[in-house]
Amino acid sequence: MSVPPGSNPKTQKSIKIVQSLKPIFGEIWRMTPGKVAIVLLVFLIAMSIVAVTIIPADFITKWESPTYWEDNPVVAPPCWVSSFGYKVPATLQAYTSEPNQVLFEGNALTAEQAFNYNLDVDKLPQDIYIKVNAPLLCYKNQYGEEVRVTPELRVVVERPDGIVFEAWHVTLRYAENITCGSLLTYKTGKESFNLASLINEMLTKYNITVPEDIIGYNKSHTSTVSAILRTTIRSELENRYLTTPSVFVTPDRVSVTLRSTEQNSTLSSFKITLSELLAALKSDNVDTFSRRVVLENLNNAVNNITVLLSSIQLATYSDFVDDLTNARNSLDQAIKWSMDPDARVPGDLRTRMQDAREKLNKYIETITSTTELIYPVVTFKPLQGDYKVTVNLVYSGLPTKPEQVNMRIGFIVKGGCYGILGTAAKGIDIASVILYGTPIALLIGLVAAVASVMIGVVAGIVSGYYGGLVDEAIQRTVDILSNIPFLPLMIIIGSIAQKSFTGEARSLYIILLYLVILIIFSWGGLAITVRAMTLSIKEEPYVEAARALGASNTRIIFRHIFPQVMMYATAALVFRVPDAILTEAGLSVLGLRHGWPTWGSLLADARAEYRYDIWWWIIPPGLMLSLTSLTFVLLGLAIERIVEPRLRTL
Amino acid sequence: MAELQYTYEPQKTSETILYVENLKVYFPLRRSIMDVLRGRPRLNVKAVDGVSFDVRKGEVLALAGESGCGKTTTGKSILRLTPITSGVIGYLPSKKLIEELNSIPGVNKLTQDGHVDLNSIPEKFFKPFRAEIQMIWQDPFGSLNPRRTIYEILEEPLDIHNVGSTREERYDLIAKMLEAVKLTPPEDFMYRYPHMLSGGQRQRIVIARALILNPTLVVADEPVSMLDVSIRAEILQLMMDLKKKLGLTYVFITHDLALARYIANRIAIMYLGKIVELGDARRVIETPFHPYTKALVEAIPEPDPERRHVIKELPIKGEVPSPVNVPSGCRFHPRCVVLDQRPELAELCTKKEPPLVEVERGRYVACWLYAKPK
Repeated sequence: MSVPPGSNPKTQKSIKIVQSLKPIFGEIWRMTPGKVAIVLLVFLIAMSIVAVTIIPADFITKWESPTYWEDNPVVAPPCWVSSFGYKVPATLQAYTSEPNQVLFEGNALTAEQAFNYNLDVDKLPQDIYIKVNAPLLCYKNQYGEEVRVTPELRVVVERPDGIVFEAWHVTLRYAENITCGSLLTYKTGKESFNLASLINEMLTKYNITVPEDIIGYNKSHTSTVSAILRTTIRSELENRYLTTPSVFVTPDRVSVTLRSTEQNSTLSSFKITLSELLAALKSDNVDTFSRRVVLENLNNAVNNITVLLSSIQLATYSDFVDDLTNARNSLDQAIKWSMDPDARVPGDLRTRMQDAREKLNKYIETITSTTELIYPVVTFKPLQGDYKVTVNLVYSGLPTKPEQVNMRIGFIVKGGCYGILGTAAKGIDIASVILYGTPIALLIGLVAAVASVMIGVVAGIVSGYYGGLVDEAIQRTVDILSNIPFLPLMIIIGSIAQKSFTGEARSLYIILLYLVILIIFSWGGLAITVRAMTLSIKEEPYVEAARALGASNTRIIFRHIFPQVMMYATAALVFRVPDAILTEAGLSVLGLRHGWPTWGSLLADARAEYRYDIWWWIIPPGLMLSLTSLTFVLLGLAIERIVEPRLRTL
Repeated sequence: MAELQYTYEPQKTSETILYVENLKVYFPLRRSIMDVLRGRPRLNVKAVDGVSFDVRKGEVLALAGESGCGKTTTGKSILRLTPITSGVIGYLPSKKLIEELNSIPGVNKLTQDGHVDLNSIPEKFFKPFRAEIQMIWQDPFGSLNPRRTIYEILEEPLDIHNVGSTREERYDLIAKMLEAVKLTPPEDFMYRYPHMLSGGQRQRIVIARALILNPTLVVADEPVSMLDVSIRAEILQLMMDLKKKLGLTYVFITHDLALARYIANRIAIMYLGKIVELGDARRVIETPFHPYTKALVEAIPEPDPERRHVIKELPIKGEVPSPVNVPSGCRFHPRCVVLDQRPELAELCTKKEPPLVEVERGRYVACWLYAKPK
């Protein structure tokens, strides 16, 4: 008696499957499209594996939150562009948990860490800041009370031009409910940035002052004008350079001018007002002492303004301020004397005088505090060279040296480039999203393809094998589905889903909804083909022979029909994979977002921000989408060529 | 000597393994919407139109006739592969099967003679009958699934009927069956695919698959018609050997009268869905009574080289009519040459269907030449 080889049926079966796959793989490999497809597929799978292993799992929910990408520059090109001649400042994200120097001296624990940054291009980094994680230290004083000590943070910047200034000096705060030893987190921002100190250093260093010929004879105005200059510089640095990048700027051009001619109309209107008042008071011929004093003072005021107007081109800042102040003082005297009943000044004229005085006073205030009259123009340029940033964390008032202090100091310069694929809005690292999008895309594609092929095959076989009403029902369903316009329906359902799904699993639900709709609309064609195949297979003599042997319908379907249909279905499956991926991307770009880091989401972001010009934002996701589609189309072509001759023998 | 029967009645003794009584198989034609609206009646293809015969234990009954006469449909309806319109197919089950049937509540359709009307068995209880009634197929190329090995093909019936509990047992059964159909050594054939075998070898596999369940009745549907002439005799010899060895009964469907005479005990000649002559194979073919049988017998080529240039004039005219519109009266009358010679029968032949009358002992003919109208 002979025993069959491989008496364990299970192992024999699995060996058989592997053996039957091997020639198929070989046949695919033999064809050029198959070879390309397999190489690309291996690449995509490798990307997926890398993505899943190196990117943390919470990426899928946090990737759109700006804090996740806090340290990245925004919309920055990849760093390799600099090798193509496109100059960008480098990005530096340096973290250390072991500062250069930790000292305990005179009840104070000092940690010091120095960082260096080299700015070698004529462009400014987007931002610079320090991030600190340091513990809240506590000790008991002699009364047994708990004393909490928080560190003081000082950041000193040494610039290549020799300016050394304290950019930040803050004491870390803590919430009352925080326990001793827990970490305090602090990030320096523009609010605490010591811009005034930087401006002072720059004014001194570059000797920026207002020229004396503009100020004029009265040197007491110098400080007023300097304050205006300072304010101008400050607002320029705050508004144009967004405060903190000012660390990297140096004054380029400084000019201070007087906008004398612009004052003509204002001064003339003052002169007219006062002249009219003067004329009105003269006309009633009251001649008392008080009235005479009023008239004289009013006249003086008019004269002051007239003199200023006549020599306006030559007038210095002192001329303006002093003449107008004199005019105002005369007006004050006039008003004061007009109060005297002897002066018999009518009430309405008095009111007009007071109005005029208010206006004049306001104007004086304006020209002494704003750039209305004195007009400084200050421009800046990036300062190239080596920057040294020294971070000091000081716990003072500690009685004993603490055992161990875990701290982490980060120095971040958001330069003008990032990583290998750059960043999008919010500093999103495009490379991460591209990488993470690969397994998602493959998953979406495969799930949709497998589900639609499975439904198509089952519906087709049932339809073809059982016939009758079931067949009719399935085929009419296919007809109806294929006549419903897919995209408009998808857009409507998608926008409803955007509003109605909430909560943590929102993205998953939206994606699943998209997939379900896609699957519902995509099995029809395959069902028709499979039905036709089933109709022909079921009439084969060997099927009738099986029935004569007593084979049940299930057996005939699974043993005789399904294996033949499956070959064709595999090719169909492979062709369908890109469909779902492209639909997802398309819907995302149309604004029907789901919130997962997919390639389509990147494109959608670019569209939402109107940044079609940012090539590093558009091309990688587009390329990945095309590459994936190409992979599966080529694979499908290769498989189809294998399946096709057998199809003919069915 | 018993009286001759006026109308044929199939024998229903304990020796009769199968009888068919007034079997009708109609295939309805699809009507167009216009036909439905005009109220035209549904038309049927009358593939089998009132066929009766019996098969005795251990014999070979040949069902002969030209293509389209309904012989294959009759064979398939015995195996319940075609739904029948009316009629009785009585089968004498083995004792084991009778016991099995008795244990099923509600199924007790045994007739007085111990026969079971196959069509009265609900589908779910029919499976054991499939093991007893098997079929040998005409097409050895199409009737084997090209994607399965010989082992898998032969294992399928065992799997369906749960024969052989272990793998080894099944392996032995299959090996024995392959040896029985003279495919030796069996190991060489088991893991081959059908396309690796010759036509004759494949037909042996078809026979093996039919016989592996130990059937009692085998319907052989033109088992050698698609084989090379050189191997036909071999296959027929194999079938006859196996019949003797396993005690089989064959219903042998063929269009080849010479083959029928060689292999069959009795023969039933079918024309357009009806039996026109039934009797001992040798006698029917040597002295045919029915004009159609005569024509068929005349058509057998004679192995005589002297007469190779002679084109025989057959005693038949015209073409087979459509089974949708069966001619009235005797369905052979439009083609009957005897009718031309004897016009006095025209009234009878064109109006009234002739009964299958017994003209000799065990010899039945449906023709007004031999029957008197009652």
